[in-house]
Amino acid sequence: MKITLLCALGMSTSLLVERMKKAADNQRINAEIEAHSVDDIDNQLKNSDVILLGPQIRYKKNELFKKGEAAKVPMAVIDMKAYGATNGEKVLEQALGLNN
Amino acid sequence: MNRFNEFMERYFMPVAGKLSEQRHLKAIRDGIVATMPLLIIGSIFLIISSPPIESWSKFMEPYAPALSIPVDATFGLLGLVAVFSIAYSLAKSYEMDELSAGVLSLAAFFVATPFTENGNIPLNLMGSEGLFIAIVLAIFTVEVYRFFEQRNIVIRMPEGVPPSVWRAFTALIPGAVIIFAVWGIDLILKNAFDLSLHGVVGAVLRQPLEAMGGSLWGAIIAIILIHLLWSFGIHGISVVASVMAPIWYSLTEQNVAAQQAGEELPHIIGQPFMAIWWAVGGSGMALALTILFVWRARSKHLKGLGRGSIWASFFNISEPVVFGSPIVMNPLLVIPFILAPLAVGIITYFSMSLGFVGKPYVIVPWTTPPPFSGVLTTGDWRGGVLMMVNILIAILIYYPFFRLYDKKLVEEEKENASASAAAADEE
Repeated sequence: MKITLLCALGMSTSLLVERMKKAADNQRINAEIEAHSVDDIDNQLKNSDVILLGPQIRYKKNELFKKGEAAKVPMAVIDMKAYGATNGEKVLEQALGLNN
Repeated sequence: MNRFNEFMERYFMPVAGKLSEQRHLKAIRDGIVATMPLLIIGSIFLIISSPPIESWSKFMEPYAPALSIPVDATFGLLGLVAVFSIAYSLAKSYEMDELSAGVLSLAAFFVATPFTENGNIPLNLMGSEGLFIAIVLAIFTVEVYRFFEQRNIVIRMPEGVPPSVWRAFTALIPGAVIIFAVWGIDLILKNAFDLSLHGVVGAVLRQPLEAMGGSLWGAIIAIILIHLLWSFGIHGISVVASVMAPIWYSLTEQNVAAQQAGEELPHIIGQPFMAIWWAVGGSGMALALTILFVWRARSKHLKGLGRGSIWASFFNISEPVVFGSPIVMNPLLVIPFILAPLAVGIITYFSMSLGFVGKPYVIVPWTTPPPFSGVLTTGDWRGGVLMMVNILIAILIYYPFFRLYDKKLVEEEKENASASAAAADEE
């Protein structure tokens, strides 16, 4: 499955992506995880199974959730505490939960 | 804090969301962001032609005219490039033919631009002076185009005609109307009132906005707003820049023009000031706090966070510290998080207005680390010194708050440790 994280520029979530990849490896989950800029959402909707939004762009969520619904890609805002702690496991769990 | 937070989430957040997703503002922002690579390339030539050390810049003097060519072709064409890229972005958001919209807006821009007596294009109206009229005309063009397309007042080609051909014909009627309208308005203004579209947009839009955005008060309000937003975990600069970016770029381009002409730079506030100077380590002068974490933290949490995020912070990425500490929703750290950049902004402003340090006119990527960003943006080695002083001041402002918070965390960590030890004993 493909998990995409979006934030303002895709830079600040890239650290979290590394942690999530590690967590996925540990749990033997085959997941492709990438970080991108939220401006690229239209492209990312086409090839992602799940999209997670950085909490700093949650003010855009109404607009973005609408797009996600239209494209039938489940979407959520990353839990702020897990994001702050770059807790890869927890965020991975959140992503997997969305996909079910 | 909780109640206030609820209030923000319910009433403020949707406004910020709407603002940043507003179609026209977004097109303006995207269109201007498209000029970024040009501006950064132009900045490289600017730095070469007037390096931060005096003996070098003397040495470079004879080459200045040649070096100004790429600067004119980048900074100097800010308005010209923007009219195309803004119309392009806006048309794209409407899922219209973006190329036709861009081309038409370009023509509209030149219809409104008075050529010189010799029939030359006036370079001064292609840069920031033309930026606001570029915004107006790009939006006008796309909206008129859309009006006609929606009502189907376009020439339709029979099926089987290749898309590149019917596209050209679709744009024909709205395009003619747009050109005619801009031409007519400009003619009327010229003949009846002795005015021009450039002049009117400048007086009504550009000058008041620049006076507001370019003042110290404008900058202070922007800095406070940006950090208040971050305090709730919202990307403050994105929200504020979605309105202010055209003004900041325009002010900076005027500094570039003055620098090229060898005149006193007119502005302190502008893109480099707002993207670099009060944001060392990212919003909130976060590098200062990260340094304190690495250097003085006793709690495991802050020490670990500091070590993990010092490099990101060095390149002005503040999210790990803002969300990790957390500063978000944490009144103890929110106070210095707002005070530090505010103090640094004010100190920087006066250091520049009193002439201790050169005014910023060079645009560098916002990830440029200190103190290089300070030297490069101002073209003055003293800019680097001021930036180091700024970091020191921010450390002093953060220190007492950091100590209190660190102490609190140490106690919590002790309690947790003894609690889990007790739990282990029971087992």
